Amino acid sequence: MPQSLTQVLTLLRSRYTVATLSTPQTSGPSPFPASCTSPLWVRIPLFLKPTVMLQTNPINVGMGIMTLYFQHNGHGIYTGLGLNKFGVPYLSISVSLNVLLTLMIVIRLILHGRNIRTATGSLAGITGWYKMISTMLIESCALFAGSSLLVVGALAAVVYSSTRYSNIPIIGSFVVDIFFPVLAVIQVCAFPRPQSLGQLPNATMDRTGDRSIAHH
Amino acid sequence: MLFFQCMTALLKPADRREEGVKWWLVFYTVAMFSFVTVRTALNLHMESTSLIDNRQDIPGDTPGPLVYQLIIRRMPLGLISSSMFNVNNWLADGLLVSALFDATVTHPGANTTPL
Repeated sequence: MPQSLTQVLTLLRSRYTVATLSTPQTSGPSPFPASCTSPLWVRIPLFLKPTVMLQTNPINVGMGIMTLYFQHNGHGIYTGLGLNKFGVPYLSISVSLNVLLTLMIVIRLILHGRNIRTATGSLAGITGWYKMISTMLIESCALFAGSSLLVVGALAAVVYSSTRYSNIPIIGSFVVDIFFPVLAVIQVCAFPRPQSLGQLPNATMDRTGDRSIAHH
Repeated sequence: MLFFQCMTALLKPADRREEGVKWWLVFYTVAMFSFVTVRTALNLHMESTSLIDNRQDIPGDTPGPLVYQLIIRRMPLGLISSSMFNVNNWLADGLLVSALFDATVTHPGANTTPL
């Protein structure tokens, strides 16, 4: 781990200058290629991948369990403590986690596409704004994020406002009833697609580029 | 439909240079699909129970199918139907993290610096 700010800056700078970073001295055979240029604190061992995958946000999982517990033990699934104290934070944490992870992937994707474009000309990479934006929308979970935001906003309007002076909760409950079942299906539809297209960003890019060449 | 397209793409990968079919992704997708199928089936069962079978059968001060649905959603079937959403949320986040893991850890040499 980097100890000071200067070390962090040095690591970041060496991250961005590819050839000059010397690979750290390891005792055994390294699973990484010799051209590996990531800093040490990024190099998580590869066999830890399932662990890292499923321990992403334990707070999120815990919030979900607490939501279920209080929904099914309290005074009812819509009026008890569950949605008030745990349901809205659970969905908010879920949305924020998804948006952050998606941004972290999409930024890499966009920069990589720009690199391909500048390195090999405009044919091999993603050409034009249309494909760039469509790749961004497909690879990101824009569908899931949008419907999640609708559900969270409407649910907060239902839970945190009173029916005495306005009809906001009624409209909000309509929106929740419409979009929450859709959300559960969107979750399954939107997430495995980018993985099926190709696991690496550059694989997806190359395949899209091939397709564009073939169509032209 | 999307599930079957995804299965086709996973089982017949266009890129055969590498290790071939990624079986963990196949099992992951099948698991997520079956979870959401369980959830949909339970929801449909509860809807039909409340709206068709026991439409006016509740005596006392809780009339109507929606109130009946609120009551039966607190029972174990409703709990299973709700927990399927949470499990799917967990698995979907794990899939997203695995994509980020592949992009950053497994292939860190991909230079993302704007040239």
